Amino acid sequence: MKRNLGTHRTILLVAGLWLSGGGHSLLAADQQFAEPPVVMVVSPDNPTTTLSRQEVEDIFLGRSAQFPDGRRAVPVDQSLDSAVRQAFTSQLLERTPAQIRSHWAKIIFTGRGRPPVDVAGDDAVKSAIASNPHAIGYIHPDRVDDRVSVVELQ
Amino acid sequence: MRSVIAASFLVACLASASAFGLETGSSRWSFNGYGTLGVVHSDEDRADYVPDFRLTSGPGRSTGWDPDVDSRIGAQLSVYPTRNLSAVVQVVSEKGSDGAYTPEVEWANLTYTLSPSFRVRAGRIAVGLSMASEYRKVGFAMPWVRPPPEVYRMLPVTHSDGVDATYTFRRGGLTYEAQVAWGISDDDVGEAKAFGLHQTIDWRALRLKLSYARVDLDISEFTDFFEAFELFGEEGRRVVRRYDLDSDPLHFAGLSVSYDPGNWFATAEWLAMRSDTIIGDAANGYVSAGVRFGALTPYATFARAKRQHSTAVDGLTVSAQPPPLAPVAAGLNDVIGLILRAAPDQRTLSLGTRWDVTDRIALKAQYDFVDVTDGSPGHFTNQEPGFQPGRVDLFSLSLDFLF
Repeated sequence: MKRNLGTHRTILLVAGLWLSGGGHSLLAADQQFAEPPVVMVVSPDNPTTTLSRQEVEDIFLGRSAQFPDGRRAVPVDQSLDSAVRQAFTSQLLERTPAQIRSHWAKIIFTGRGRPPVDVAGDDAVKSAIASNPHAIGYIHPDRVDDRVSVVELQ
Repeated sequence: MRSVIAASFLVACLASASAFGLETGSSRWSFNGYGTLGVVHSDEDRADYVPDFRLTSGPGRSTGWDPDVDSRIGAQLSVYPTRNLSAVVQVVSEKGSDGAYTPEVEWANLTYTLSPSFRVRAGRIAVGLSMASEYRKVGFAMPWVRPPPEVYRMLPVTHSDGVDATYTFRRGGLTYEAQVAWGISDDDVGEAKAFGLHQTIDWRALRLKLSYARVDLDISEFTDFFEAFELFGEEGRRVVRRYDLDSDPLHFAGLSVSYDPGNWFATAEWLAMRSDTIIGDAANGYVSAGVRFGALTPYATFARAKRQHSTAVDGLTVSAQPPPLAPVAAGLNDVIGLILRAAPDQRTLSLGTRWDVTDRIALKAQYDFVDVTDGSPGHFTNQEPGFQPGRVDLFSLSLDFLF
């Protein structure tokens, strides 16, 4: 004997309301805040002057640990809650923060590796690059100074 | 179960506060966790739906809304004492075959990196035949409420105690990885010794995985059952050799493809099992795709479990037995038939949506329309006597989180 079909109708009604409400409000929220611009930066000693978006994605998602010329690349992230990180994630990686966490969860929880180190703020990124010539990070274009050199995106 | 709910709510609140940077730890260690709170409802009350071997009951006949199918919590401590050495311990609490949420050590292993291309690992390690095998308990990492059981229920073990060696080749954004693994898995049902060879290719949004495993299975109940055939001399020994688990191993071959460019995804997996034993043969697979609209990801999956062995019993010749032994022989043949027919054969169409509430919390709702082939119990157990499951509709709601 099958259960009362009323249960199914109720579930569908509730699910429909929830989906239409939740989906709409979250889509609207995405467009509310303008994202800051972001530039990729490396050490002034690093000969790399251009990178493709795919190459940046490969380095920051752990698929590659090298610059195109074969030098070691050490990605430096900013905190996932920061506006700069969110701009980097949506503009360069074309993913949502949830997708990034999901991507790294697969790697962390299979013991295959760890996400890039997280630092707090543009100045911390510049210090990290100053202390490690292999580092690559992203900051607001107005914060560029002589401790870093900008990498153009192709 | 109540303690898991309490712990999960506490953790979900902390995760949503998003000021928690526990997972960054320091450069020498990190602590990470995951969990799921889920309920499942079945519209068929004459049998229980059990998509996982560790479950002895499920929604349907035993309960209306079952919270134990998908709920779990896991925590992992990773330590990096030197550049070449790392150690990991992961503990998981989910409903086990004893009915309790006893925390179990899912992994505890040491990885030594000999070079950028070569690493070895020893201890309790993950078993990786399918794409999501190694992270199948991390709900947040997958779009669906659970990885399609047609494929993922085939291999009941998720970890084994042993060693593995991995070779990695990287050129630009292309990564090729080959892994050889050997280990033993022990639980109250029996023991499995497995040798596996896994190859993975990653390129941009594409991932391809090819796996092979050879498993020597030892199930204590089956060993006891086959002892009864000693009464039947030469023919008894022939039947035992034909069906028992000692004479032949199980062979698994798997192929997985996944494409995820960001705003949509498609995954297809196929896993085949061959054995000259009572476990039989199967060819199972699924195809799944989804699209991302902001924080919502609606998806659809079509999965198929196909029993490929004959259910005709190649057993004892009942007519050739002396009268006292004839019913025993018939009974033993019947049990063989029961086990041969118990292999799952079913199709499932799943439609669901994932909503990324925050970057650490996801809510999912999924409908599963299951069609069990006549003559197989599919993924159902605890049937009312004589009941054959047919079309069953399931509804699942789950909350996945990371901390």
